[in-house]
Amino acid sequence: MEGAVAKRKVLSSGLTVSQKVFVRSRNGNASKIVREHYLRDDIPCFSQACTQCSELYQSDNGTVISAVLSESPSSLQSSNIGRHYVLLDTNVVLGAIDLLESDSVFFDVVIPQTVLNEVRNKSLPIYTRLRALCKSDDKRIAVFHNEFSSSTFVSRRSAETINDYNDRLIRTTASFYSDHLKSTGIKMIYITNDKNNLELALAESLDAMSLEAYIGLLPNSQELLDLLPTLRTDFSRSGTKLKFPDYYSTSRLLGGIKNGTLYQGIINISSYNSLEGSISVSSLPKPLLILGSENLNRSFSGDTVVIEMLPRDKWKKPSNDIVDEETLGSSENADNDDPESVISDRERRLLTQEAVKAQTSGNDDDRVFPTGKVVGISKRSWRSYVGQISARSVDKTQSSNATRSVFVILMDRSLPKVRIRTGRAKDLVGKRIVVSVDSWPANMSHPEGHYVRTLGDVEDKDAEQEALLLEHDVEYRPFSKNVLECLPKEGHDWKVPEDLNNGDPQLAKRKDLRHKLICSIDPPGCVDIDDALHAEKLPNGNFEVGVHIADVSHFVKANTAIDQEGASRGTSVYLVDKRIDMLPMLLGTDLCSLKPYVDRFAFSVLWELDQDANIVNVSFTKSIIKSREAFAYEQAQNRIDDESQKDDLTKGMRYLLALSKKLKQKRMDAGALNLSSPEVKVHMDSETSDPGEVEIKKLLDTNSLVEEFMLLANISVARKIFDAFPQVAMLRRHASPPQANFEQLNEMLRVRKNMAVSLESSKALADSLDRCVDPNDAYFNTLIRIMATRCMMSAEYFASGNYSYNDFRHYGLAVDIYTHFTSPIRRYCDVVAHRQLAAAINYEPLSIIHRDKTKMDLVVKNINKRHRNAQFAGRASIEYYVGQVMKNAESLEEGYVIKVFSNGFVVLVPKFGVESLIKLNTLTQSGAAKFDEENFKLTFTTEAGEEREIAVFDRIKVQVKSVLDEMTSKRKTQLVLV
Amino acid sequence: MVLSTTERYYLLECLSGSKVIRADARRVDQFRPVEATCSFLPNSNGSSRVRLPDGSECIASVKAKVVKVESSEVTDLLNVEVDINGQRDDAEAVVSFSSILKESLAQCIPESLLKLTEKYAFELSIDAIVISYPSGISSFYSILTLVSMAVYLALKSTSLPLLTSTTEDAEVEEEPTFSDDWDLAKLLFPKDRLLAPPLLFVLAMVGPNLLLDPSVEELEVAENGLFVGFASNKAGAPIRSISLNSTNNKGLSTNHILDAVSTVDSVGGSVLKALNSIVENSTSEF
Repeated sequence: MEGAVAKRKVLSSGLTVSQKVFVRSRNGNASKIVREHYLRDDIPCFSQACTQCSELYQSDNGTVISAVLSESPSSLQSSNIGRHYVLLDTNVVLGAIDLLESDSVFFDVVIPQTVLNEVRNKSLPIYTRLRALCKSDDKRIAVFHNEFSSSTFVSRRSAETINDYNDRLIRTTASFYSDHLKSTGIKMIYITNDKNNLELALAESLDAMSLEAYIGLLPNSQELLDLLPTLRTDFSRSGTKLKFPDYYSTSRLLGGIKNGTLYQGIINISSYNSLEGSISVSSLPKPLLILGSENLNRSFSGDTVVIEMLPRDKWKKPSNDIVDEETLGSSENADNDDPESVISDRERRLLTQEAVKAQTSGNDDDRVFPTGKVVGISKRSWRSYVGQISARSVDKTQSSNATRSVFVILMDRSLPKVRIRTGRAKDLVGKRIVVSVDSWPANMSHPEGHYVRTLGDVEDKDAEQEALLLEHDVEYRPFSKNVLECLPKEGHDWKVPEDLNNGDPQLAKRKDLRHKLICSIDPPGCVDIDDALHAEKLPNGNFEVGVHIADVSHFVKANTAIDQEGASRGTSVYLVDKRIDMLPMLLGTDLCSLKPYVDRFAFSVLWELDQDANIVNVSFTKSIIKSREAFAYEQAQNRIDDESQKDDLTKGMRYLLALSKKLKQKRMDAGALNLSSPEVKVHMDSETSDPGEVEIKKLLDTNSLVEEFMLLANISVARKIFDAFPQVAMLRRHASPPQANFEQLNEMLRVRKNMAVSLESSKALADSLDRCVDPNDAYFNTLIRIMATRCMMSAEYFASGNYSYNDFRHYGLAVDIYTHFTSPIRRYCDVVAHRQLAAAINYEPLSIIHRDKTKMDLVVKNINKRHRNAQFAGRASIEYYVGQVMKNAESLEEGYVIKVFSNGFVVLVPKFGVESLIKLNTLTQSGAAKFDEENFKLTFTTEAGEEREIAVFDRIKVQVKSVLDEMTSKRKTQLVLV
Repeated sequence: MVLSTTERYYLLECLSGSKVIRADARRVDQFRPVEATCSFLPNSNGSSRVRLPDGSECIASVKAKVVKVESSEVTDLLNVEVDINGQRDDAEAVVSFSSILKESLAQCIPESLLKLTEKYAFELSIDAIVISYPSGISSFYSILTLVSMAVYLALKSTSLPLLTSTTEDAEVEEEPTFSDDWDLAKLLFPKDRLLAPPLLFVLAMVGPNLLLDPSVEELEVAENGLFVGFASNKAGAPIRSISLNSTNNKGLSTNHILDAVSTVDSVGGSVLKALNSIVENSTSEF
């Protein structure tokens, strides 16, 4: 039977329809799909030089289309090309997106619709970047819908694969453009990196060339050649033996996952040991281990991988050793001498049962941990990475600028070295660079990548800061034009309208609270004031207390560009000397900020509290306020303590303080936890911005005052929005820590100090923590609290429909329901909570994106990720600056041992809030060290002949130095035992 | 259909004599012209539409779905449903048509035709709708031939998607994946004639004679009826006697049954050839 010839039927002038049939296999099922395909003949070519298409640019339901490609595009003198546009193939977009984004090349580009669809199917992040590029005016990139245009559409031939068909569609588009633009004298160059495609294109007499060839013709080719992606054909290594096992076929992976014999999840490679990965699997109580590079099989930390469990005889214990890239001089060749035998599914299921038994068995010593190996990677988590060229891999004797391969060591310790090709290796040594990973074939021991750009010298403050932000996936580029257009036109001159009855219905719903004596208490130097309070005594003896929060949702409406940018950033990021804002500064520090002496919009929570701080009633309202004063914590404390101040504002502050103390006591009685993290503040020299001194933050009464009322507001709002939107309310929960997390800490406490931490309830935990006191050491209690914090689960945002009411509990605060409401300027969760509360009080209807569960789930997932990244970025920034402080001043400090390994131990230095590893091989050469695992102690003989015993919780003296790690060029603290 | 005494007498005389004269001058074993098309339903794996000159029309469609097999019985992999326009779903004719067709199909279709891998196979859903039938008939069994021809054509024009993953999944499970090119789909019944769906022929008995493809008048005067199956190139089960009208019913003799079988034997092959040529000539729009 002859293959399907698509019949085209003319529907009206300019519109024809044809049919296409294909088979869609999904979930093991095969369905025959018939789609109608409409073709039109009025799609313009987007060239400003073309006169034929000029009448086709009309506005189409609001969106205006216009010719994008320049009349006089760049011209190539060599090889007779002259003025030209460029048409890109999919592989070029996927491999060289960085090059496409660069300012020095690729203007006047045509992207066919086929390429756009292929890119979207292969990589969503690259697709998003491409879309953003198409919107930019400077790049002049036109998307041509070749599959909808009757002049470029061709139907699929019988037995033609989808890939060949797509290639043919793209070549047809290139040839259409060549002919169409003949009269303008502009050539169309088709760039593809696929050999077959190139050959076919040249055979069809198109102006086609590979990306490398095109770049080579450009005047600035030298600097661009480095940015080319590495292609597999570049390295003639076909024939070298496979270093890694091949992945299973997709159908085998899907089948295995479906019937439970293979596991899919996100792999997490430990930063202590780059050869050890773990993955949590729902059917096993504890994470599955993946040990060794062969079992890790080219996976990166964060990838979604598919795991197969190894047979029982290959299960291992997790290492008590610390393994770095350094100790891996000769790479560890994973064993596996016996040939792989086919294991049936039934056997695999039995293996799973054994794994569960092994993980739950009580005996610690005999326990082997089930291990597995990676057999497939569903989704790569590749992004741009910061790193630096390994000095060792650069051959210093070669002085020419020939491109050669060098290794780049990434900042993230759990990732492998990346091989790139560059002609400027010598120049780039000692600089922090950004690289992008292209592929990791099975016959290479390291992944292949390419250079993207340079950040600056190592240890250069700005380069380091940019590196930090990139590594934590924080968006720090300035807000785009679209976003800034959403701000009020008056800018800084915006004021609260004078006439409250000017006909605006929303304005009429606001309560005028400008007569209340409101003030704000914030850290010194704070310019984005998002909360203010007031209190007054009522005639019946009770108190009226109000918490007023900046009304950000008035300025940031749902579904606008500024809202999308805020949702994507998720939170403001606080580095030591810089703040990356979630919303533009105009809002954060001026229009939304509850500055004193000016009228501002706010969202108020008003309670009537009795003498014992019990809530009698609560109300919520949008309001207009005028803050009387903006205090710093110390200032407020001083004013309250100063007995000579007797005015109403001070009286209000005193009521607030008294009530806050009662609220705190009630929380403590209910079991709220008072954990501490080693928070330090770095003082910067105001002139040179050099770090001067490091200080541990102190807590005053007024800190507590603000905190208590913020908590109360968050709780009241949580109750209200859950009541109004039980399925989609934006809430925050903190799961109780599982027993297993505290096992090691409790063991250590029991063995070394004869104490224990109880987990029966949060109150029991709080009380038992209070009891962990060492009469000889005041800091011991804080140390235990710090270690306990690390055993906790993290708090997370969630949409209320995903959990039952019991799971809403916030363990740390000991409340049954909680959300974040009080900082909308710096957290997106609060913006959503504001919108939901506004709808709950009937101020404004709620947009569909906050009522739809699926959309809310996506928002929640993103803000959880951003929140974590922001925390890590903040800590990394502190670590860096502390390192800089210590660079200048070595000192002798007190430290506490918090973990012991067989070849080293970890020490925490409270003064700087840093912890670091001391390796045994720096203290003793002899292998006479004895590691007593049960008693958490390490015994060894020092160089000087002295016998030392180091155990967990010991207080020791260390010499604190700041050293530059030659591998990663990261500054780290080095502790030397004294 | 109401016949006058004269008409009835005339027809009986012509049809029961030693030399049969049929009203439309057909031979005893000659069929009326049939008009049929295949593969016109876009969402079905196979489809057909058959029309007879007396206005009866039937459309059949075949759809395939991938299922996990529990037993190795072909009957589990076939779903046959016949729908007669205007009749209830539980009417006797409707229900028995479905089961007769299913049984005869189950005998002809080996399990290997539908099997994909050790664990997966295609499940076929065969649906036939009789859109219109002559108003004068008193028994629905007379349209059985029409329905069986429609089902035959639909099955012959059915293609199943091509499996691209492995077939050995007894030990290690794989999810079946298929080629997305519809042109690579294989015909369920490849062109060689040995493997073909069954056909059912209705014969009317008048006196000692048996008439193939009886027209409405012949059905009205028939004294009894039979339908005989034709599979694997010879006549065979199912063989059943049916009552074609409510007025004139006489018994069947063994000779009748044997004659019926031999008639079908001789005619079956050429009917098959004719139907196959319909399938080959109809170009699939999809």
